[in-house]
Amino acid sequence: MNVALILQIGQMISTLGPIALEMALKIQKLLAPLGPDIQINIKALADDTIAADEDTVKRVNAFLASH
Amino acid sequence: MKTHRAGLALTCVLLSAIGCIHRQGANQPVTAFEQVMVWNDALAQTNNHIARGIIEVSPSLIAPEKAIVVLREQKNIAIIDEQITAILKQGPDIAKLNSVNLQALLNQLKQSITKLIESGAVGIKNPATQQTFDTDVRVVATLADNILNGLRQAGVVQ
Repeated sequence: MNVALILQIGQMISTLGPIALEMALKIQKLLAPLGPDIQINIKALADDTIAADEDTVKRVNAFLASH
Repeated sequence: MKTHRAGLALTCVLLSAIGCIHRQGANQPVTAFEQVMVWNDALAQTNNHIARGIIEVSPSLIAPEKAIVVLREQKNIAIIDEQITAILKQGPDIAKLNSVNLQALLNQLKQSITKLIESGAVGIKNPATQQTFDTDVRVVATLADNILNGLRQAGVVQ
């Protein structure tokens, strides 16, 4: 595990408290499936990001349309 | 002091949990660019989490007109982040070739996050909800800083 990454996460938790712990656990979950192929990792994380962003846009648009 | 101790305890919990994670199939640490992708994914998911929360508690805890202002900014963040991700997805070498665009998008992202912080400053009826919102937004801001720092570390932007 990358020491700099652990330090960054630790710093985040110290600064932000329980919600940062929730976030850190989420980050841990994101890190867990990383395999030896860097390109595959990058693509998988990007696809996950785009799915979340698209879902945000979709939900906000639906809310705006109904108000 | 109490806050500091709580932070320290949380750090210990996380470090012991995260200590057992290794790159599958190889005993190598993740690269700086992979870290950026993780921060970026976390940012998108946190933004999504906030949007879901705001929609869920409107109108009971947040007036719709207030929610609209916040959600519009979150939509902007999601759109900018999608553009950033489209560049990052092509890998560090292509990202480096697009460093000017990437830097401009990161600046837009930071501006949008600042607007999000300002948009949430007033109008949430419940103090606990206001506090949760503020903290979540601070997480988004921290993640955006991590993305920029990580890209600098990876030599993608200056």
